[in-house]
Amino acid sequence: MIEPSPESPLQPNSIPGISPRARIQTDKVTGNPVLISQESVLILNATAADILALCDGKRKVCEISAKLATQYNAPVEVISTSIVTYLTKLKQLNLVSWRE
Amino acid sequence: MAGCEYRPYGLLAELTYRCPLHCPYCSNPIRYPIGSELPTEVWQRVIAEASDLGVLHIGFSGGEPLLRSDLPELVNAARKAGMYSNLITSGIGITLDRALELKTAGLDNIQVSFQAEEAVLADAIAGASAHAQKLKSIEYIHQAELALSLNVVLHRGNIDRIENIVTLAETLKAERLELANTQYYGWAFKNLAGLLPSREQIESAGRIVAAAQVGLQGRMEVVYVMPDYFGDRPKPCMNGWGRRHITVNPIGETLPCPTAGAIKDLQFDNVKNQSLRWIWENSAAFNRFRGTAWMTEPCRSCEFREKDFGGCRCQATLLTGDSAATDPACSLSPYRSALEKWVGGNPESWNPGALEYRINP
Ligand SMILES: C[S@@+](CC[C@H](N)C(=O)[O-])C[C@H]1O[C@@H](n2cnc3c(N)ncnc32)[C@H](O)[C@@H]1O
Ligand code: SF4
Ligand code: SF4
Repeated sequence: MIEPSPESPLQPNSIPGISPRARIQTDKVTGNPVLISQESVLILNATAADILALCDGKRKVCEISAKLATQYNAPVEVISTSIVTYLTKLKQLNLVSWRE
Repeated sequence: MAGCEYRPYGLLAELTYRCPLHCPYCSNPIRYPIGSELPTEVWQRVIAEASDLGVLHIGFSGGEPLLRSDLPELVNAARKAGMYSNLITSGIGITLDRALELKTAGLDNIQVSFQAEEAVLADAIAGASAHAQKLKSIEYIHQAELALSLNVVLHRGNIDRIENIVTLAETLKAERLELANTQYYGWAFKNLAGLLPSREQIESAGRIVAAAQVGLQGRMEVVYVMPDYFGDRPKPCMNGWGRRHITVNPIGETLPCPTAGAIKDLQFDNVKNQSLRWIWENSAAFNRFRGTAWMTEPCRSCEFREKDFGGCRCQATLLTGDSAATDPACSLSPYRSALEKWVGGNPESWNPGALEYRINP
């Protein structure tokens, strides 16, 4: 289990993971991937699903960015910025956490 | 029934009405429906059928769901069906073995309710010696690495202690704290005069919660359920009748909301006799307040009618006697006085001895 680290912002070396209180599931009705927790169902678009699939509690943010940059054939800075924005948003909802 | 206008996301599985506690704020019905509790196989079928309808969240509740020895099997059925499961419990009856068993079965979250932050008041509210056992249960829950939420129902007797309650939740390492103002249904409605806080209490509670929410952001989520009686607009109850939610009660009756039994002119179909899909699509009780055609004035011609759905049908029934009336939690309701007579003018002080404690079926 990843201990929450409330004060530290997401760094290139941070290792993010989905919070133990949430999990990814396929919605039987729409076929979409969703991130479910006790209080919410977030419908994941393709990019969000790709990011979260790599948040396995082992990979660093910089590694995730590099991998997706290759996959999308896009500049790594752009990818990295959207990953940080997205994960920081989920962190505020207590749906992901990270360690250094 | 086309499209996703009517799609259930949540199933509340009320496994039993039996309970070791006697909370006077309990939203359970005062007169329990008569019949035998559903057997394991029927619950398993209901869970699979709910999943096929699109349900993603299941809450196991009651009464005290831990009194059912088949609880791990049902949790496992939910896990296999791909649902997120939450056990809504008083915490009485958790042992380390039980916690581990539930974890293995695939339980996603456990939500333990507390009556207050300290034993004397908490036990006086629960009508039983419970607080110390709850604290012990939390240890087992952490040992089993289950995600933990706390729920505290707020009323005149404990609302001034919110700060201490937040501290308790932090000490117990809850990931989420739900501070829920009492909803006045069932036993709570019977005890309205003794439970309803004053406006000053509500306002000060709101300020303390807002500060706690900011202070704890990213660490512990603090959810505050606003009281119905003090606002001008009703809540969009259940996100619309028969739109997002299904409750199955201990004997198998299937309701659009946990307290719909208060509405006497509804007949509830039973999962012992019908599939959940049949009930969702055809049950007269589910169809009764879908859409807007059933509405009376002022809702019928109001611009908010598709936003708040006219408020809560149970509250309208309890306060006006008319299940299709505008919820008196709306300031436009012609029955507003039925609610206002309590707010601000409630002379009673906190006196647990005067409350009627919940009894078992
Ligand atoms: C009816 S209880 C059954 C589960 C279990 N016995 C318990 O109390 O935790 C379900 C949930 O509703 C809450 N609750 C009970 N009565 C309520 C009321 N009148 N208004 C709001 N919440 C209520 C409880 O604290 C609990 O979290
Ligand atoms: S009496 Fe208390 S513990 Fe029992 S079901 Fe009602 S709220 Fe839950
Ligand atoms: S009149 Fe009815 S629809 Fe309009 S705000 Fe009040 S409850 Fe909602």
